[in-house]
Amino acid sequence: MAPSALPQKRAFGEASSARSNIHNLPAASSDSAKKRRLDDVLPSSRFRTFKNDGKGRIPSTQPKSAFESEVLERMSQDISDLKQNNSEKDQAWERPPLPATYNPATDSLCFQSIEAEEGFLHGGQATIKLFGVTENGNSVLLHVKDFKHYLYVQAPVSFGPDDCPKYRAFLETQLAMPTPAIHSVTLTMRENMYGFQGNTQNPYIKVTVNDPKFLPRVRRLIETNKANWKGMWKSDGSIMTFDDIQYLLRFMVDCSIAGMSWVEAPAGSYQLVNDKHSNCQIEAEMSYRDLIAHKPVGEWSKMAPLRILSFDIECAGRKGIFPEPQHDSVIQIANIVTKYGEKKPFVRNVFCLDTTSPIVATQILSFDREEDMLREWRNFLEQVDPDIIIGYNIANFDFPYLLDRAKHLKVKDFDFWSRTRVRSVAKETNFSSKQMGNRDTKATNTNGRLQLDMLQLVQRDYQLRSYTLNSVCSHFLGEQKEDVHHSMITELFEGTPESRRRLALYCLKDAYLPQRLMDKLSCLENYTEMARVTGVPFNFLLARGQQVKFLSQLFRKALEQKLVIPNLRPESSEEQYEGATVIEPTRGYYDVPIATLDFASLYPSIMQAHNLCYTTLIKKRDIERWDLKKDEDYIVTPNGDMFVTTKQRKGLLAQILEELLSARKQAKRELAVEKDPFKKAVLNGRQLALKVSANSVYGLTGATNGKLPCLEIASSVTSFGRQMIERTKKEVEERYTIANGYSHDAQVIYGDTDSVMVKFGTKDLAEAMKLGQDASEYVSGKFIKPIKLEFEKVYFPYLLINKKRYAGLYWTKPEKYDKMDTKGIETVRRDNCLLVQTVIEKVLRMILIDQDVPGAQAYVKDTIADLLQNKIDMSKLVITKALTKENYDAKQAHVELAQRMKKRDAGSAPGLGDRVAYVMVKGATGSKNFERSEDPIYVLEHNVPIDTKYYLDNQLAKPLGRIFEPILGETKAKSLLHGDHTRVVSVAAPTVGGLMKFAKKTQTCMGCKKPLTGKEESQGAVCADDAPRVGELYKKTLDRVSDLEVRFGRLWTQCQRCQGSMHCEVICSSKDCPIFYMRMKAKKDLEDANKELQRFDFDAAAMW
Amino acid sequence: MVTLDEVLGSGLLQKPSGDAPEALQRQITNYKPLHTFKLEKTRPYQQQYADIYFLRLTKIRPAVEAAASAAWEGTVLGGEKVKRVERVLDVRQGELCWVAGTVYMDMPLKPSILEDVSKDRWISAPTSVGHYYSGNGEDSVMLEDDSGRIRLVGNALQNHFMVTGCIVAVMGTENANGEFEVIDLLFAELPPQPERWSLSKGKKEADSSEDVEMMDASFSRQSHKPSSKKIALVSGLEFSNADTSYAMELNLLLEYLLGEALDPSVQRDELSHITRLIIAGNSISTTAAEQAKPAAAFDTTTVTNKFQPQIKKYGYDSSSYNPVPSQLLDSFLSDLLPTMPVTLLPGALDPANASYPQQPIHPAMFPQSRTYMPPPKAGAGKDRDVPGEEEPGWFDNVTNPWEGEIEGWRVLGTGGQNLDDVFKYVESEDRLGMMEAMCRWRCVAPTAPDTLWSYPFQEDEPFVIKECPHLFFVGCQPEFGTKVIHGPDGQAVRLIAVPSFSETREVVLVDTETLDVERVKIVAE
Repeated sequence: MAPSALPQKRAFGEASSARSNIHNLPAASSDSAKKRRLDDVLPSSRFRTFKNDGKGRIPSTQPKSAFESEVLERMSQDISDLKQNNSEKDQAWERPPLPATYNPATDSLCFQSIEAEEGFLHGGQATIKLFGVTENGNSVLLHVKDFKHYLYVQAPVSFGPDDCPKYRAFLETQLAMPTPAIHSVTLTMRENMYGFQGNTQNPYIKVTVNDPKFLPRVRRLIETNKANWKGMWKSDGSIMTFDDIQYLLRFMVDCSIAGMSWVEAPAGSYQLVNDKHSNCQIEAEMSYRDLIAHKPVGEWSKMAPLRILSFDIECAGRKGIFPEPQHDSVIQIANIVTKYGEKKPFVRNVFCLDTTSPIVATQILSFDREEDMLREWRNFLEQVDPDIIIGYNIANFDFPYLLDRAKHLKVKDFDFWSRTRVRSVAKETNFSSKQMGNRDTKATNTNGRLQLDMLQLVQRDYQLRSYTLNSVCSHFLGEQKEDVHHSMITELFEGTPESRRRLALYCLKDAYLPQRLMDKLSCLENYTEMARVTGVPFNFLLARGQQVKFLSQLFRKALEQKLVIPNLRPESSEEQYEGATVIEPTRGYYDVPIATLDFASLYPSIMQAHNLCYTTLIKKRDIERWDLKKDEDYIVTPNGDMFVTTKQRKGLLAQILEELLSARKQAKRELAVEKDPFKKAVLNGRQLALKVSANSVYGLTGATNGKLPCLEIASSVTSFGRQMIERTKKEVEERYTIANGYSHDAQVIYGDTDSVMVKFGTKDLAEAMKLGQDASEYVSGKFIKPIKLEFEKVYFPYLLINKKRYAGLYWTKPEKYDKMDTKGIETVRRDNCLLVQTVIEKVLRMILIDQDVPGAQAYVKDTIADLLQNKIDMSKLVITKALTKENYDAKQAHVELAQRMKKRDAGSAPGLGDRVAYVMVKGATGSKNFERSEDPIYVLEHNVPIDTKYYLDNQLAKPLGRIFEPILGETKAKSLLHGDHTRVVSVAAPTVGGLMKFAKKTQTCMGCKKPLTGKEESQGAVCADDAPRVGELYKKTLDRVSDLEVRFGRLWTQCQRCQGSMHCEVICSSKDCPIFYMRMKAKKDLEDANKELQRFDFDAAAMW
Repeated sequence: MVTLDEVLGSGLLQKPSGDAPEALQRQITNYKPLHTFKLEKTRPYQQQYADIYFLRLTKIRPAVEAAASAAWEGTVLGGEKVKRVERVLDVRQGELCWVAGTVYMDMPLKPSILEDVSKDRWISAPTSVGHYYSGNGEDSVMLEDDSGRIRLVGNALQNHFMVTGCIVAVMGTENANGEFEVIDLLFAELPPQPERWSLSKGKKEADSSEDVEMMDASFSRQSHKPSSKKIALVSGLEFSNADTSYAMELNLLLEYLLGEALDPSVQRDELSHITRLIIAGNSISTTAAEQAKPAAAFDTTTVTNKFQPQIKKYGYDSSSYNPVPSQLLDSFLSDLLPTMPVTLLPGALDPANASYPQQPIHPAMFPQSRTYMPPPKAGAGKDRDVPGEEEPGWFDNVTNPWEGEIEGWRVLGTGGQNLDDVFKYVESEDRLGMMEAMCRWRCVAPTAPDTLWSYPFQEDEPFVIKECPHLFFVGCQPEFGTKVIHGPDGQAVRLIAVPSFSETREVVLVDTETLDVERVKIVAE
């Protein structure tokens, strides 16, 4: 911009620029400045009709003046653009329209299929519905017809091809269905996957049914021996059937369609459906024979522009009661919609009850009636047509609440959230898996739209102290979130349009955070790739356990090799096998480099190296039958099981693993050269998915309650693993010795599952790395390929506390350490107070990074002294626990407290689902722990003394002991907890409880604690003897005031920054925030300290 | 500038004249302190900071809006007439408008207590950073009022100092990203300036003739009248028992102020005209042993732990108190007070409370010189808080910031924290410019409470400059500086950056008639 264009320029730096803020330019120039005009570029007719801008604009006829600069012109252009495209008023919700030229006869239909489900077409024909999105962002529903479900059963010896039609007729009569159920019975050659079959195929009967829902019945009939035609099966018990897999997966396996992959219906092979089942833009039907599935590699690893809706609701709860849909209304729904591949959301809006002031770049939709708001939101949902709906705790709260609320208000057809004509219903489900234990959840169907509840996802994939949105965000995004208590929400809602706006902002932030979390954690990419690698639909990944992913892969591979998979009866046997080995740790603090040798993908590589598989498992009698030679044709594992070698047959699992691992290498290679951040995320997701899949194979062979357990494989794998760890220890300790010319005798100090820690003895980091590298290559050579021992890192220094408990500084290059690594040390345990976490972290940092053990001891002593003298901030002592149910069997501190609080004030007491925060306070002798929990705010207000001993003995002692024992030895470590620093104790004088009512308060001298009883001194600060020290004591008291003032200032301004407003009161009540109690305490402490300070004004020594 | 060097050889060593030394009479200036920044002794802390911003905005916004409406009313841009918008919230995309609000600077380098807490750092003393300003584009400027906030962008922002808490009006439009493109920016300008002698009576009539002359001549440098009186401004005396490098200069300063230095003619013409000493902060030094201690115990990066004494005392250690610096100050003052009245403002290092406004240093710290203070009313210290019409003490222990009237001039001064904090926000060394900006923002401590700790005022926001001072000084600055700024209604303000004596050995003298400034450097050889 030319300087002349600005009527005033201020330069503060110049002393001459007096009166700088005044428009004192020559009259001509300031005059013209006020008349800046550009040609009117806005034809007012193009305004949107609903824009309430009634002013008619008279187009200026004045010619362009010369002084108008480019910037001004650009700016006015912007203004006019914005007039027509105002993001606060008209955000485009709809999907892009279908291309005008679209014709099913000439255009092929290619889309990324995001969900698949079983369905019907034309009144009964079973189909598979594939939902998806085209590259242009159009939504698609494709009905795939004609695919028939089937099973296998081993043919009896005398069963010939001629028997097929007869057997079919027999089955029909046994089934006794009104319509013919059996489509066909054929005889094919297949091989049983379970156990080595001498590489020969046997005849199997393939029974194909007309409708997939008949298949279970047919299977049951055969298995229960009720379809034993002519008694041909010589079994009196049950008959084994093969290939038990659900229709949808069967279809995906047979058509090689993977979840989240691209499929294509060639032009002319499909017809549009007239009587549409859904609100998708394109709905078509076709036969499965013409469907093309694209492998998700190369070009087809792209993602369609999926629409992601992130939303959050606010409810007006009543005081002290968690919102209930029968009583409490939904007052706001905030929505953020983003297209995959774009950084900014294209829809930002809040549906609000009652008038609400506007928010920058956000559309506010105000409603007077809740019913209207809900109805409109439903319409919005349909219009914006999201492919993925995300949020925080939406599965268990938002979805069911909205549905129940709408039902209560009788909002008609509110529950059509799916893409089909199916109503959404929230169902109670119980999710149980070995990995995550039992969990009661609710599930709401949104057929055709995916759901990602970030809470469930984070709970599944990460171990955290707390799973509130606040603490999850502070963990991953590094920011604290304002937390408005639900009782406050009602208050804000009942206030003014401004206070409702505040609430809307809060709601909007809560809607935006799940989106940011998802981006940050690359959830969408990671889960998409997992679906593609394992082949299961996206939804299965969250709703089902580990097993289905593995089975999907296994079935795909089995199909290629004409193998059939037996339908084993799940038997929950309690049979246990020996797990991984742990080399007994030599506990201690090592200030020399400790090299870590890791087996890369140990269990997968053992399976590959030794050809361990279902297909290679062999029994003793079969060895004799086929006359196999030991170690040439078969091997015996350390566990005593036998498997044939690759000479006889290459195992199916080995092939799957090989493919997975080579695909992972490929993905990593591509990742290294890829620049585009979105593609990078996809590739990284893929290599992770491949790794996880490879590692899960072993686990499923050992899952005795699973579908395909094979303990022979599982226990052989671990036995090989144990052998290898021992072998590595032996090899390393034999080779790296002084006798062999090395400077020290190497020692393996610890080993676990797939890694060994070696102390080579050298102090030199680079040297240790060289030796580590050398050792890994040397030992790798002793093992069968692809087993590989890798040298990855050096720990220096290294603190080995116990099995699976250690900490160290992690080095991969000799110049600088990468990070501090800790395993199994309680920094994340949730029932610890923050003090434990910070002390442990700090101590570890001091020991490992600064290598200052005396400093760490001094720090611990200081902290303990502070604790006992009541100087530790109370917020560090707060323990929080969620109140999940009313009646616990055992009495627990937080439950007891919640009940006591309810007696005091039912309104503010924590309700079910709330997190209860408490501190331990001093109680009567002999009182139980759970009786001594107290509300931190109550403690603050009444100066209740804190049970510092509890914190020392029950919280700090154990973890500190663990850390210091290996360093200092047991006795010295104990001395940390007992000593000089524990002698000075100060206890707060409570204002409540037993005797306090009768106590008379007397001031004591600030110097010597002598009671000030004399008439002159009773108001003052010091006694006559300490009068000369008055300056010192004043300074001491003053320093405390100053200290608290700074605290007060810093704490409350931080909260203002966090809430994003200086002019509004801070209302956040996040108990997870480290400074919540601190700031409450600062208020009170500061007032008290000022009172102390005031005593000097009445003190003779200070004034005269 | 007069230095001792210049006069050393010339007149100091001369024969006694034999006459009895002429008894010099030190003149007296009219002095009336105001109690603008005095806080109640028993003050509540239950309230939050939002009120300060609200009060500040309500007080300053009318002036800003008046200035803005005068400047922008009728401006037309792109065929659109600029409109006034009531609240930040009402800014609509694509509409040319102007709006007034409070500036908030979002800067990642501001010390964060959340970070300090999580790292278990000593949280009362924030990890000091030289600047909050990062210069890498991560900082952003927001405009907010009680309705909401909006991000400001545009080159127009480059031309101004921008700190949290100042009230501005901006003209421009909201762009597609929801940011406000600023075309022009204005602030309140200097507040109305009271007439000289508006508070102190009595003197007015006596000096009326001179007064008229003064107003006409404004601040032009006129010929030195021998009768003119001066006040001395000094800051950063930093009495210390650890660093004695400037102890000699401090002694010379005392002699100079007592009128014992230099030759009789200078004593008569110069020194006896100094009528009052104002100490603007940092009178004692807390460096050396005392200050390092708490930092070392909690900061692992320092290795001082190794040098700690073997026996550590847990709990309060009375030997950690170092009484010497305040004793030195006390005796300095008690030597000076018989000859000259003193106004003492606390600073960052002084034994006064830490947050703004700092309250007077307690008499407990001045066992000797407190006899020159007004006597405490028997048994009721509270009464002293009420700013009454009582006579100010000869030794006037005041707040920081402080406001008063000297020889009829309205004087506003601070101990320097306000300016130091503003300095951290901007990429500039122009401290006088920042002082000017504060005057034009009409706020003496705009960054309080955001980064300058402050009392949470609820009823009144005293940092707003309601009446334009004639003299505005800020103590404890790295170097001396002065200039005169003018306002649109003929206001004129003399700005003085008072250098830290311990660094520069400089004293500033201000003429009480012309408000002319000279600095005196004291050098010991």
